[in-house]
Amino acid sequence: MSQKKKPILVAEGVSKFFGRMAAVKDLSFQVFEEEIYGIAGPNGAGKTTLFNIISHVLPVDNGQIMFKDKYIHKLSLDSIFRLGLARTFQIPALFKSLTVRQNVQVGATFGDPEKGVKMDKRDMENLIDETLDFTGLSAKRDIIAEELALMDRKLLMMASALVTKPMVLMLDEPIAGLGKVDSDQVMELIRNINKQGVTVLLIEHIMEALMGLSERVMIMHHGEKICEGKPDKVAKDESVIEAYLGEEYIRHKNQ
Amino acid sequence: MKSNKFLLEILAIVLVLSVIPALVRQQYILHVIMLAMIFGIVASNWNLAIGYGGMFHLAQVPFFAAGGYSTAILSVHMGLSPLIGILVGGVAAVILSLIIGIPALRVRGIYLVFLTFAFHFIMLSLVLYFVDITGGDMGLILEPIRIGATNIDMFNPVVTYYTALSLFVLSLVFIKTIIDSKIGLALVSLRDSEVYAVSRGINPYKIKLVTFVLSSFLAGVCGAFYVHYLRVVTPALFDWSFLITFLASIVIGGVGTLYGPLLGAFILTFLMESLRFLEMFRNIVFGLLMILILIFMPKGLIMLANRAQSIFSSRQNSAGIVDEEN
Amino acid sequence: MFSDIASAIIIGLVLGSMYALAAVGLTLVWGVLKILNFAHGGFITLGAYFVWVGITFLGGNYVISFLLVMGLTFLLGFVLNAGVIRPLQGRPESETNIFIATLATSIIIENLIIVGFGGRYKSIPEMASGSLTLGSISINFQQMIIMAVAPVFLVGLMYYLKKMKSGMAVRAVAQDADGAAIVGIDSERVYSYTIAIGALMAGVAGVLLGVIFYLSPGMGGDPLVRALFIMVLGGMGSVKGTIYGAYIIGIIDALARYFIGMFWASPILFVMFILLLLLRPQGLFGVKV
Ligand SMILES: Nc1ncnc2c1ncn2[C@@H]1O[C@H](COP(=O)(O)OP(=O)(O)O)[C@@H](O)[C@H]1O
Ligand SMILES: [Mg+2]
Repeated sequence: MSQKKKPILVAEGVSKFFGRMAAVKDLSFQVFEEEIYGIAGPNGAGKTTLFNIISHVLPVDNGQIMFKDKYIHKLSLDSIFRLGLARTFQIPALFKSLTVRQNVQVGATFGDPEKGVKMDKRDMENLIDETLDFTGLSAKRDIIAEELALMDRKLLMMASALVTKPMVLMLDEPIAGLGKVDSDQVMELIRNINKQGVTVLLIEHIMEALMGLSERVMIMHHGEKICEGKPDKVAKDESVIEAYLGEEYIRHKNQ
Repeated sequence: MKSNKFLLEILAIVLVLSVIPALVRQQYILHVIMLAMIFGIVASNWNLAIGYGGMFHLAQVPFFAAGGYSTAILSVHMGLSPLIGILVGGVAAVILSLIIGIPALRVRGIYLVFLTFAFHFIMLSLVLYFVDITGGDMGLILEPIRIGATNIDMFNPVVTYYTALSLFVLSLVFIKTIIDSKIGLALVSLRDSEVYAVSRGINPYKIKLVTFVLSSFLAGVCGAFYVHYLRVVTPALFDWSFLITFLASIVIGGVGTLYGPLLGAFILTFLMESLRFLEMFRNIVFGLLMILILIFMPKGLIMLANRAQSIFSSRQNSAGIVDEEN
Repeated sequence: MFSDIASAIIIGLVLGSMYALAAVGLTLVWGVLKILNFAHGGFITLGAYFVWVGITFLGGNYVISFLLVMGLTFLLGFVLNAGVIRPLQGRPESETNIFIATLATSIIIENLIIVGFGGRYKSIPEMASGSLTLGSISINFQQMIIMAVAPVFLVGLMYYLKKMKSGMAVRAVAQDADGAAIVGIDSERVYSYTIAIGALMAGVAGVLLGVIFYLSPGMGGDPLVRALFIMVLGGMGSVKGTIYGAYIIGIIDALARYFIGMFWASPILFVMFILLLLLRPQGLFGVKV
């Protein structure tokens, strides 16, 4: 199914070193338009670092990254976002002294939602309101962000990205740390985001969530890709079970 | 609602400050109030960079001095009118702020302090070196300028007082507009979480440069105004006491607040003037008081006086969509 | 030409010696407390005036005057810490506050000197007259003394930091304040010693500057800016790097004075400082952060 689609994000042999340690090592993969692409691996496997080099929070040491037929690894974090490649952070970030609505407004104002066309004031207000509705934050719009609980912080971080109508959204552990009800709501939201045509890269170590949402999954270990494919296939892969998946996933499955 | 509140505040300030000349007949008091307004403008624009923009730099005094020297040089050597000269002062500061800001804002923290510190010395040495243009140590004397064919000095106390008041109000509106604009939103975001702000499309270098440049303009204008008022420009314009006065106004009044630096400037200017009787010992006592104030009023007066109020207004800060200008 | 360059280099070493003394104190304080002490220039001025007082009123004994300077600046260093720096530390705006407060201190010092001695230039009588001539190059005895005195203090400081117990505590706090606290080092004590030692070094630098240049209430300003430059060149907080940096700057300074003109030395150094900050803020010896 995904074969028919075009790749939208392509990494070719990317590496990132911290001192002599390779946090990401000669990694290549492709993400196709409108799919949900899952990334898993043990703690310290390099997943977050991979997001950091794609979004250019950190410069990539080797290799190339292409987004929509354009090399982006030399572009800055802010311009990559404006092109339509958005991300969230594993440790929720927020503008703590701004209201929820203003947090989203930052994305709308600086994220170039109309790609080069200036938005008029009314349209932008509507866009912000729609995004707040979509992420379920409307009721909390005037609360100072610092006062939000974990779930709302995670939602808000997604909202400030979604308001720019990104083509690709990279989510770093959006579900980890949430209770059952909240997890289900976030999973539903991710599905809805994807239904609107947004390609999703999803890092998550809650395996049921990841396997349930993703069309394809990549497993990383020590900075390298050890396996890639459909969730059920990956779950059965020897090397994956050996590296990490085994006990946890099987334990979850048996419950 | 929020802008109504600001409008009322501005009106109150204008009202109080504009009736003072009618009530207070001593020219000396008017002179001190005027100085306080001018120093308050320089300080609160500096606060835009330091407090709101998170750029601790020492270039504000050179900007102030550049405004003074540019207008003095042009009016002494080329007979430029002071009205244009005051604008020229602002433009000179803006040009300098671009020259220093474009490279300097790529470094941060302590390095920005060093860089602007060196910039201060370079400016001063240039002034001292080009004696033919600047008058060197002796400086330049400006001729009094008459209004039209009359014999009235253009910089007479009443006119200067109201000019300073207009600049004061202009500065307040200028700063408030910036804080409530897109730039202000970006500055708060950057202050709260820089990486996150950049990951949401903010170009920090651009925003900081724009803020830096905007905050220099009125410093230059005030420098020019100050020089025309005193009718003399000397290297004393680079004095450290200016730096201390402006900076301490910000800190004593409240870093990153709209009215704090203005309040601080009034307190410090009056303090400084009230110590005149100490003659030689004035600067010593002033220095000591400064240190004591810093030690015993760490949060700034605005914070002390209006804690609850400031929490309230920060919630209201730039609510709603910002203007598309800038 | 050769003798010009040689003479300039000798002057450069003399200047470098003084700058090294002026800068190590600043570096040490930065390394340990992570603060910039802008009163440092004031302490340089104090050193020069104290030695002038000693020589003028105490019978012209250089050695006693020198010891007087060391003792007084060291003590005043403690006063600076207790009265100005410590009360402001660990507060939200502490960096800005300490910057203003130490700058205010230097204004207080400058004005105390104006009140006490007047604003006019003063000069200290020569320590030693005569000079040594080697072919076409001549070095006067004063310059030789300066070139000899500075290393004594610099080596003494290094020895103190490396070998003596309280010196090792200073280094421990500089490297890792929390770790040092766990081992039981009283960081408050280390801070006050560090500032006092920094003040003493400034005082000694002031003496040497006073011997060569005229004394004026604002004389500490120029060496302070050079010391900042040297501190960055040496890699912010590295005492060794600072000493190398000081001699490099001293020689550049002297060459500029000699070949371009007295006036231009400072602006040239400022421009170089700016270029350094822009191109290599981690300094010559520092690691990139
Ligand atoms: N900024 C950094 N500096 C040094 N090492 C880092 C940095 N960020 C991550 N690392 C290291 O890189 C490895 C990969 O980390 P990370 O990408 O966060 O893993 P994951 O997200 O898969 O848990 C870890 O060993 C981590 O300690
Ligand atoms: Mg991670």
